[in-house]
Amino acid sequence: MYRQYLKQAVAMLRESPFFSLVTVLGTASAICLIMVMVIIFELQNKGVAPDTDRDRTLYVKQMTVSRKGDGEVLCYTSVSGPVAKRCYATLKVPEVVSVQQSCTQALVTTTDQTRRMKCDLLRTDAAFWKLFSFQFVAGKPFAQSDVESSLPRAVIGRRLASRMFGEVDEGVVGQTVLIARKPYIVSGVVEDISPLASHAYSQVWIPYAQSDMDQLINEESLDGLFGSFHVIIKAHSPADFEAIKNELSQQVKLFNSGLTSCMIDFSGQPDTQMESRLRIYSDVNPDVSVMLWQYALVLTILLLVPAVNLSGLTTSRMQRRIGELGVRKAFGATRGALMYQVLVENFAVTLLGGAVGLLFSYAAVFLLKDWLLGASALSSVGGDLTVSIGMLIRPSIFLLALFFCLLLNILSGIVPAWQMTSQNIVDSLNEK
Amino acid sequence: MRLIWNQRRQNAWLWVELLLVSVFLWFIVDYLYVTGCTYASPMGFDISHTYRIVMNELSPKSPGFIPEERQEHSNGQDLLTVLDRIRAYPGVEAVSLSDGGMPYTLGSRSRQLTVDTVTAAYYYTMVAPEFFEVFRLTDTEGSSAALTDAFRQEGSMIVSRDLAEGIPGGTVLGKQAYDSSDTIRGWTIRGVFEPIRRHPYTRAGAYYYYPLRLERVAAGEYDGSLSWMEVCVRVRPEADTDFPSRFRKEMTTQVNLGNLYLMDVQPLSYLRDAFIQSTGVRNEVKTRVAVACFLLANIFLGIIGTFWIRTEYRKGEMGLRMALGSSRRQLGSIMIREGILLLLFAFIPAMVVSLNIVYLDFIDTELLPFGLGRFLVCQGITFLLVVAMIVVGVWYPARQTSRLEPAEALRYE
Repeated sequence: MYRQYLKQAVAMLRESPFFSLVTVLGTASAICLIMVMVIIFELQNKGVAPDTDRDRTLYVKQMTVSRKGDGEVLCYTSVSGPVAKRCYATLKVPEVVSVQQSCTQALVTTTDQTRRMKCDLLRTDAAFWKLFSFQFVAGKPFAQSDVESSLPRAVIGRRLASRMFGEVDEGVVGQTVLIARKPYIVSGVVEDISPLASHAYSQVWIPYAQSDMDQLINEESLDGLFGSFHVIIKAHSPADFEAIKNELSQQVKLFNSGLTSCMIDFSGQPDTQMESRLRIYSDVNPDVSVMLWQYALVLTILLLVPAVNLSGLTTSRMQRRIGELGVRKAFGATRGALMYQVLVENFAVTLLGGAVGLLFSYAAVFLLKDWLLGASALSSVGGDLTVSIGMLIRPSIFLLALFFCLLLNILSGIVPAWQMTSQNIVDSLNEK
Repeated sequence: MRLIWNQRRQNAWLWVELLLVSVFLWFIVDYLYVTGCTYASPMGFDISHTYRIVMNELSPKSPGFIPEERQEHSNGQDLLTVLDRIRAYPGVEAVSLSDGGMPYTLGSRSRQLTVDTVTAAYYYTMVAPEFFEVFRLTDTEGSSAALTDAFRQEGSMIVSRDLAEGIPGGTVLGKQAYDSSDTIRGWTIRGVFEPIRRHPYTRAGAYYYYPLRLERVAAGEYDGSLSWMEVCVRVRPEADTDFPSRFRKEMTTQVNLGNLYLMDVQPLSYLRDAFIQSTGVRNEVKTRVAVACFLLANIFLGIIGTFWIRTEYRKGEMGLRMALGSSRRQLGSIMIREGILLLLFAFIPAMVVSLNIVYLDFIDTELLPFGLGRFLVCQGITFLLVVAMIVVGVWYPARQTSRLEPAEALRYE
């Protein structure tokens, strides 16, 4: 039966090539736009290697310092060192807790300053290397003892290594580079990663200054209470999120009881991946469901508007088949069966348009990646925004493309199918 | 008119379609109009031929560091000397020092200011007087020099025009402004400048400038955070050929004074692109415009298709007209006029629906306040677009039919 429908669909396409081309292109453009949005959403939220496992990771990036008593806000800031040390490093429930400062840019040169490269720099701790599974080409990451004793160790990316030293092998480990005019010893070399792995991305990684962690808290000047750290917490499973938040609020209470006039607050953080992306202000809790509804609304409009056009095209294309449907009706086919036939034949065309659309969307993501994927977190990017095929070929994307094709097919086919099968048998036979 | 009434059943659907399309299209046109107007409005400053000389201070661990005991001058004093040297470099028109005031700088500060009875928080930064010459901020008369002169006077403050307009009671010049740091003496407002915008996709925000206390810089109060201050130069157009590499080659030894060293020479256009990229706003706008254009294209095809099919369907009727003596040209125009009349019927209620949408606050009123001008212009553009769609949709099939012999066309009846 389906082979028959397929043959009929192909015959219909061949009959009026102009109309068919317009239908296929119309479907393709709609699916292309929708899939571009879906792919971008996937890449931005699911992340790419080594920054995967985002669904069991929590993020903290902002903190509010306010006055005890009247609660007046004194300062909006990122997490400070002492707070990170006392409230986060002590958590027992999570698998890994890591602390980092925002990616900045720095000039890296060889000791004789003959070779230079402006790089993206990330200051972090030893737990960072347990959080993300980097591929080490040579050497190993710096250890927590290096961080605590402020030993200047650095992990550099492949591109930086080849620019500084020519080869990329064990010989690079132990060499010295000047980062912002300070000497560091290379402890390891990693494969370059894409800025899309936003929480892990950099081109050179060094330990943060231990003095930032050990600051003395001065409640007058707020020293020790403002800082520039972000915290990443990886749980064993998403089921632990509640437990982690509870443990954290206890730690925060303990910390606040040690202060006389100030208190810190995290306003609902640690956030999940989507919440963290939406959080702009420290004290406004992001609403993920609103964002998802807005997405759904936009996708609905992007489906409906082309569907209206396509249904008009389908109606005029199917006019020629009214006679045939009349004959089938005369032989006792139910209305449902007839509608089903129309929809299935239409689906063959929609699927063709959808496949073309998906290919277009891949091309669009490749060609327009700077526009589509350039988000605020990737502002000072020294590396290329690489999008590899592996990132795009995912089962979830294919399934979603199929789903939208189906949806578009139903929306654009239901009205013509209804109209055509509602005609009187005699009228339809007459038109033949 | 009679024609339309006779076929009212068919035309009712078309009327509904035109109504929905008019509203939807207006919504999209309004968005594109607001975006376009915002982008095209003046920035308030001019960054052509301007560069930031990025300086940094050596840290104790760096080779070449001069410890405090052996330093002749503070780093701040050295910086002021460097500024003088840069000023003397051929081709340089003006040099300024600012603390967070450079256009497209990341971060912003705001503070509460009281003028007369009005207290509100506005954005502010601290700059040296030549700042206005470097970035060509102008006062309401169009002069930058007037702002510079006003700023050189003791205790001056310069405010933006939109800030001044928020203070009732005549001109704001000469009034005293007080902030939390100085509630007794205050500052005298001696200049009003044209509003500046943070980036091309947003509207201006009220702003004021404090003078940067160069004595404090010289005294070393900013030492340790001098890299956060911005040294900006304006270069004469004739001398602006390959300025960064020339400057680096010829001036590095002059600029590397004491514990200061030259990091980079960046054109403001580069900093602007980095800033816009970091806010992500350009990408967001591009995405919305792309989606809007996609929907526009779909609407175009939809309306053109509808009228095309209608015209094809009416071949028989057109054949009849030709047989009864209509000229071929008139065929098309009759149908077009019919379509436009139907559009007018649909447009009036569409305008009402649009006004309701405005009332329900669904359109963007932040970037451009809603006014009669904006509404009429957008409705007008929408109307013309739909008329164009009708014309295109009718013209081709009508021409095809008019080419046929009347007898042949009658066959379709």
